[in-house]
This record gives sequence, structure tokens and C-alpha cells, in this order.
Amino acid sequence: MVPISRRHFVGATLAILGAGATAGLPAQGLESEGAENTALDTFMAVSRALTGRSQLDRAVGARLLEALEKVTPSIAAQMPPLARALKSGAPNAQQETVALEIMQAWYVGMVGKVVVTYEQALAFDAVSDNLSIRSYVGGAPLFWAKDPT
Amino acid sequence: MNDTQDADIVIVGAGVAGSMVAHQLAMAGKSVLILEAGPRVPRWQTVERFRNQPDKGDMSEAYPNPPWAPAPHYSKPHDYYIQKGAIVYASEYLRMVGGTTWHFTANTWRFRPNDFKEKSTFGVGRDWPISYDDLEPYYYKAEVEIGVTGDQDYGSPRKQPYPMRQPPTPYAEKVAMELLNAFNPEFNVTTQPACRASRPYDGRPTCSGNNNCSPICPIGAMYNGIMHVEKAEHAGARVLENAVAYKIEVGPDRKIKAVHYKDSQGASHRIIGKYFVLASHTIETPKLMLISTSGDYPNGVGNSSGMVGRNLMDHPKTSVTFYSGKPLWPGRGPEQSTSMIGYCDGAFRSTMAAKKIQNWDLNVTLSETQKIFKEGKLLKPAALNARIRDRASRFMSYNSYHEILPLPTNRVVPSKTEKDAIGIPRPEIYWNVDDYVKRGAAHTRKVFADIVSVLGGSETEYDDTFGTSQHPVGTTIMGNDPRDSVVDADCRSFDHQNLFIASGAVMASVSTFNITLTIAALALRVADTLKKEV
Repeated sequence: MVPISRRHFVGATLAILGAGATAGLPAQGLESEGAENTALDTFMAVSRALTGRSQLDRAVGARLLEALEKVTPSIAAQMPPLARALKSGAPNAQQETVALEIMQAWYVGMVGKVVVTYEQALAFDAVSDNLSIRSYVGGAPLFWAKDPT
Repeated sequence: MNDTQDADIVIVGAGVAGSMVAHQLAMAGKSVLILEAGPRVPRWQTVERFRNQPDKGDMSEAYPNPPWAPAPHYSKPHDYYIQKGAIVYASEYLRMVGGTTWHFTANTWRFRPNDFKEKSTFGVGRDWPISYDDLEPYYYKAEVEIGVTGDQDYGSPRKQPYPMRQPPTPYAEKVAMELLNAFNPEFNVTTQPACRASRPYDGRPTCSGNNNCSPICPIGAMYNGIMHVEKAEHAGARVLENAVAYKIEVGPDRKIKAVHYKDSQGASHRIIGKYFVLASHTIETPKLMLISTSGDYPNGVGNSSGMVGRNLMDHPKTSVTFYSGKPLWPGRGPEQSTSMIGYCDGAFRSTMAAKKIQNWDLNVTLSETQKIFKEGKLLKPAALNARIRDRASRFMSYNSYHEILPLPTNRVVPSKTEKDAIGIPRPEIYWNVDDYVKRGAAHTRKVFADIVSVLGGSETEYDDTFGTSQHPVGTTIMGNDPRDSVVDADCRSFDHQNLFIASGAVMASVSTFNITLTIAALALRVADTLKKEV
């Protein structure tokens, strides 16, 4: 499958957001009451809350959700209670398992062996000051002459 | 039979060896035809395949094989090979236009003088019928053709400076080099001569640290054999892809008359030539010779010695992984920039294998992240990101290339029963390592322990099962005696005056070094011989 976008990753463009510096998960990602409450909307809201990001690619999210549904067919139905549990700060063990699946999907860009995105896998943002994504140009020619931070 | 074509020189195999011979001869005005079993795949397609594969650590998944040109994948050693030996032989290679250098790691070492004369120096193995000094001018020619960088002779005396300066050493390897050499100067960790452009070279851009040499350099800064395929074609050589050679036809005067090949539909074609060069890598070259049986040649073409397919060598490898004490940040720049060469040569070779030791300077962010999720704990983003940083910045992986001596029992034999999709026999591999290697590996284990200690390592995992390193050589061995060798000092068949072999298959020792530069040097030498004769 072809990745969603073909942006070339040159330099750090997505810095780690300040999310997480505050205790608890940011609540703004969950304020979708009143909006069209589709399964994808709720999934995106849960994803924003879990990853601590106010912006996540919706097209990537749609395909991650589709891939997750193949593995866990009930996952869409689990989104609204999970959203409420995250807001109240008390997900149960089963909900934490689902949350972990969702986090992993965003962070590695895959569900099992299904590759949804490579260049937008969130894991790379954690190291983007020192590492680029393999197969993309790392920086200027011979850039590694300068030591990492 | 569908048709017959002809050329002055017919080359089987469009990898670095075949394409270098083709280029030299086409430039000299000869008509050259190269048969390549596999397809022609543009670079961008392999890059896209890589970006879409789930396991970024798999170096061969981006190279699917069509059914008419099957080849081994390292992670699936039973799909094409038929394993008959005490241990599994898993070295992979590519059957496609451009060959296996599409996905090598760009390391271009010369062998050492003693690697050419182990029998007379150490009393083990064989002597080559040529010396290092005989090959030295061709090593330099190959370095110019390929575009090699270096900053010292690394124990292989040279007459000319390198075509390009050595690029900077990435931080992780720079730190390791300093600490290891300070701990034990005998280690002699040095930079590694390589073929990643350190300045624009021959139309190639400067290396920009895509950290993806293997499986594919996305920008062509690294040398690939395809570059000489294209040069050969510009000089007038013709390449027939998806053309699987399956029979060498010998004429009445013991000279090779023709090569027969099958196309992707299985239809047969015949190519007549004056001279023939087999350049199909170390497994396919002897296989083709051995299946070319006839009444006059019941043991195959060029096999009066019985040595075709025998003396298979490679670099049996052991490895270690650990997390360094301090963040080293592997994965910035090329995939490998240094090696420990202190044990590549020495008097000890009379009793135990020499080896080269190197680390992977690979960005392991995704695989480390997968490991973190496997721990099963839901982390807040800040904690997760911090853990990813911690693990990705400290994961270190070292491996070792041990030499193995030429043992006639290590061999390739075409199967009499198992065939591929177009009816050509699959290769049986008989492979084992002996005590010479095991003694060397026991010492390597101690060196690994030292490396871990010097770098403050923890969570150490050793792998002592002898894998192989994608460096197969020896199966059509060079020598002075036709009773125990397949080709002579010119890489000409003892049995067929117009048959040459340009391949690692001719090598009489494997040394401890990556083999591509030596293959290229030998190919250029074959080309010089042919230019005088054809």
C-alpha cells in the first residue's frame, strides 16, 4: 500500500509538543461533544488524548482504524467508553490494553504487518533532533560530521 | 528453440563483475551481450518497497524474486536452497540487472598480501596463483571505477592515493573507536574504505546519511553495479534481462559454442559467441556449469578437476548486541564506517581463523519502539518519548567475519529432484564450519566481552550460532594445477580455452574482508586478458 503522503523529511519539522509536561492527559482532544460523533471522530479524539497532540493526520487515522478493526472488530464500539474513561482519568485494565494498541499504531505507523504510514510514525519525532528516518536524506551532505546533541 | 543471437563476448550475469567486463570490452569496440536471469528494477521502486515493508530490519524483502529467477532470502534459507549440511547456509544474493551490489553495505576493502598465500605463510588453506602485487594495479583501477574513499592503507600497501577522501566518522563509531583503541591498541579499530561518494563523483551525489545503504541507497551516492551496466550499454553492450541461462554448449574443439537460456515464459533461446564469461555469483555459476552435462561432459562443463561447486567459503559470523552506558546515537550517516582490523592477519592464522569485527550504525527507532510496546505498559507521551530516546540512542550491534578455509566438502550441488518454476535445478548446499573457525570464534567472544565492558554495556546478548555474511566465494577455484582447480591465474577455464569466470567463485581464500572490491579487480583483469585475445 502506498503511504498517505510523500513529504520528504528534511530536518526536524515536528518537534515534540509540550504535551505531557503537565500531569494527566490534556483534555482538549476530547471536546468533540456536539460535533458529528462518527467512529472516526471519536477515534481521533481518543488518539489525540493518548498521544498528547492537538493535531493528528485524519487520513492516517482512518486507515489505522480500519486496520485495527480487522484485528479487533469491536474497537469502534469501545471508543466512546474509552474516551470517557480517559477524561475521568480511570481506564480499566481492558481499556488500557486497547489504548496501548492505539498508541502503538500511531507510534510505529503499523497494525501488525499492515504498514499504514512510515514517515508519519510518531516514534521518529521522539528522536528527530538527532536521527532522521531511514531512506530519507538525513541532512546536508556529510551532516554527521557535527556531533549529536 | 525460438531464435539464435550472437556476440563476440557473451556474459552470463549483469552484476558488478559482468558489467565491468562488459563495459571494458564494449569500450574496446567488441560486441557484448549480457544475459541476466532477473528483471531490471528502477531504484525508486525498491525504495518504495522498502518504505512499505513492515520489518525495516529485513534487508531482502524489498527485492522480490520472479518465479523464473528465484534466489535465497536470508530469513528463508529453505525456500530456494536445499540445506544438506550440518549447519544452515543462509547467504543471500540478488538475481537482477545490477546484481547484489544493489544492497551491499558499500564496504570496499582490498585483501591483505598474506590472504593470497596462506599455504606458504601459515601452512593452511591454499595459495592463490597470483600475488597481491599482481592484483594491486587492478585494485586501484577498481577503486577508480567504483569511487572508493579511505584515509590509510589498512595493511594493504597501495601506490596511489584514494580517488576520494574518507567522509567523517559518525559519532557512535568515533567514540567507540577512541575508547576501544585506548583500551587495547591491538584492536586497531580504523575507518573503513567504502564507496559512498564523499564529494560528487562520476555523476553521483555526495552521501547525505539516508542510513539505508542496505537494502538500497535512495540517492545513488553509494556505488551499485547498475552504474556499470548503464555505462556498458552506453558503450554498445546489450543486456537481455529475464534471460535464465541453463545450458553451456561445448563445440567439437572443446571450446564453448553457445549458451542456452529460458525467458520468463520458459521458451528456450540460444546465444552463440566467440568468448564466454560466467559472472553469476558464487552459487549460480557452478550450478550452471554442473547442469550443463552431455555425453562428452558427464560431470558438467569445465569440471575435469571435480572441483566445480566445491570449496564454498563465506564469513561465518557471530554477533553481540547490548545497550551502551552513554547515549551514542547510532544511525547518523552511513550504516558502517569503521572496523576492528587487529585480528585480520597474524601468525595465529596457522591455528585459528582471523576475523574482522564491525558494528551496525543503524537507526533502530522503530524496532526499539516495538520492543517498548511489547513490555505492555501504557505510558504517557512524555515518558514514552523519553524511553524511545533512551533505547534508540544506546542500542549497539557488533558482528564478526571469520575466515574459513577452502574445504572441498563445503559445496554447491544442483538437485537431481528439486526444480524451480521453469524446471532448472535448485541448489543443494553442503555447509559446515570446522575447529579452525571455532577456535577463532572463541577468541572473538572475548573481544565482544571487552567491547561491551569498554562501552559500559548492559542487557548483553550473544549469538554464537554461525550465520553467514553474504560473502560466498571459492566454488570455481583459481589455481596453478588443473587437477585441483577450475580456472588458472587468468581466471580462464583449464578445460575450455574461451571460457572465463569473473566472480568471487574463483577466489582461493575468503580473507576477513568484504569481497566486492576484489571481485571487481579480478573482473577488470579478466577484461584486460580478453581485450588482447578477442
